[in-house]
Amino acid sequence: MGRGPELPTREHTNPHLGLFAAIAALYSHPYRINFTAGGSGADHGRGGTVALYIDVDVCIGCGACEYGCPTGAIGKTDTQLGVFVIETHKCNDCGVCPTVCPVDCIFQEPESIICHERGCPVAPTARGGYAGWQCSELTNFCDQCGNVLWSAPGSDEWVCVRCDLGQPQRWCPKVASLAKGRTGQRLPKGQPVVYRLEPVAEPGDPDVLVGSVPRRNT
Amino acid sequence: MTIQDAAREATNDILTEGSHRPMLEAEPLPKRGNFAPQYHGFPIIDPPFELPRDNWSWRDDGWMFDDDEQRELVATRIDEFVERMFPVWLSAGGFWKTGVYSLGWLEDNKDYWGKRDLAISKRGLTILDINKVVDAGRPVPAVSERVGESIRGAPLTQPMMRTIRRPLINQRIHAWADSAPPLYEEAVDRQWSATRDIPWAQLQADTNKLPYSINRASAMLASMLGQLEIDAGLGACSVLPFISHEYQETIWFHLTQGMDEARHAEVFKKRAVMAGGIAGTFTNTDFAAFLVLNSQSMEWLNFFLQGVGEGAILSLFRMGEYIAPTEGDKEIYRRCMQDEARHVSFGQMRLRAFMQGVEDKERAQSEIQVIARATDAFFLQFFTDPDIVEPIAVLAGGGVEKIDDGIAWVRSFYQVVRDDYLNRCDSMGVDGWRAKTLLPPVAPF
Repeated sequence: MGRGPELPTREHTNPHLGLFAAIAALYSHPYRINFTAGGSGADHGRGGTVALYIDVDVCIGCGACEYGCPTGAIGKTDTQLGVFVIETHKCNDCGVCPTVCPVDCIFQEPESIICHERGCPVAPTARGGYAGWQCSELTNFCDQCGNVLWSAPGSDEWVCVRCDLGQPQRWCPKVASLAKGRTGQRLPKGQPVVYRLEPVAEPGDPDVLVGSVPRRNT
Repeated sequence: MTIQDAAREATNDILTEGSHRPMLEAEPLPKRGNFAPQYHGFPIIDPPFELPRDNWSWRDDGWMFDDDEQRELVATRIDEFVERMFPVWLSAGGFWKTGVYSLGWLEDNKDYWGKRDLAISKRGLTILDINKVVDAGRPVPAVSERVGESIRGAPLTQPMMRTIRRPLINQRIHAWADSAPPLYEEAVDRQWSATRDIPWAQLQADTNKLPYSINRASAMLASMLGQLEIDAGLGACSVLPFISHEYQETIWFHLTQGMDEARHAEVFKKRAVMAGGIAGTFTNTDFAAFLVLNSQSMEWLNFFLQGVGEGAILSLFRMGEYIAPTEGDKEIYRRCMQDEARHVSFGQMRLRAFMQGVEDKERAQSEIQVIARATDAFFLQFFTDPDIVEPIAVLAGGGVEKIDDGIAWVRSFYQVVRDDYLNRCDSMGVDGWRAKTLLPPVAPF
């Protein structure tokens, strides 16, 4: 209980007054998760969003996602409705939770920076001697190709493995999916990736969800 | 010869009688994979003696037998079985007295033994963890020939016995749910006590301050819910003997649902008594019980009981914040709500998988729409029963003098329930019910 980021408590409504307003509040947008200005992003200095997020307006609180999550990234909120949220820094973007959700309230946030080396060509487990390399986590990009930059162990310099090291196949999967998602086709050769990240919110800023977030049509 | 004589004789002659296990040595098992041996063609035996009826056709008066003749007939059958088998059973004990042991179980299925490369997840050793070994990465069998109560993954070392008269639900499409193992684990984790976890003392103090109409309405609603919840529990468990144990996680989940519903029935009965007394009986709720206790298939049950019926109760509990007159009531609704959501999740996902995976989709659609029609009737009866609607309206309005406000609230609540119901129909794959439903788009009051 209460493992997820704490949601604001639903404003108590006198049950005997404003009945229509109460129902409307319950089924419209009583909660707003502030991922960017909230705990997860700020805590980790990444200022990003999660790979997957739960639309708490639709979530019924069944817990199927929590028990399907292999990384323990999903937690029940200590709220009246007991809805669930995904903890940014624990989600590894595996995609299990949307398949077990009975009300289809889990959506993918394609601009997630939390890739946990999934599909990363410079991960410690990747071939080619990149063990220990550090990802700039979508804060530094190659001017030439737009790929994300990595840093060698012990080095302060960000390097593009495609342009600087001549390994064009090593695309950051997040950057590649972004470009593919925006253009609807594969990246053109020699063209820089065109994408834009929204400014990172400062703590205390109003809710900012980075990029386009698919919403369920209800 | 009496049974005792036979037993004594068998014990004295143990060295020539043999154990009752040799048949296993004579027929080596066909082998398959890791911990999941093939068992097609393995012997299935009938029960050792017949009984006059099964437990779905008990005598009306609760006694065992129709008359002395029937009683003697059954007793004779049991005696015959015992007389036949006693010597065999006792011979095994006689072997052991002489230091001779079968140890056949040590030799059985050695090829499947020892492959316990279990990966324990962060949560502990989950069902999914052991299923990776038990099922060896394969889906559970599409069709099961397993009878009796043996567990999936068990190498069949002894014959299986038909334990009930009717055939089991033995197809994956009708019995299995991928979500059953994790939801079962969750259900076990989230058990709570209606005795300890509700602030009854505070609730009692708050209740004593409430006006008569609010307390009476609370008692009516709690009585209705208490009746409804136990119906749900009985319905969930009523089909369990008929499901093959190849799909036993479904059985386990239904058993947790039975436990959940028993707790809900308990908490609402306690709430009704605290409000002033158990307030009434509800025909509409009996209609729901009729539909779940006489379910015609697993899909019937998944649709009406878990997907839609529990879904409507879930909608009510989600609204509980606005109709709960005390904080204690909110706590009751909150705790019940998480259980109901789990049941809804199970039913919805299972029916969705069925509708997507079944071969004869047209038949599935036409059959499920029969129970959808009955569900419409249930909802309409629910929302036009004054013993149900008016207490909710009194609670929502804040007293009998504000019942008009409350009825307006119930009118909105009707639309919420109707929308949720139709959304769930869509989600479960019941095509076109949004257009066919008999429920009027706005409340008929």
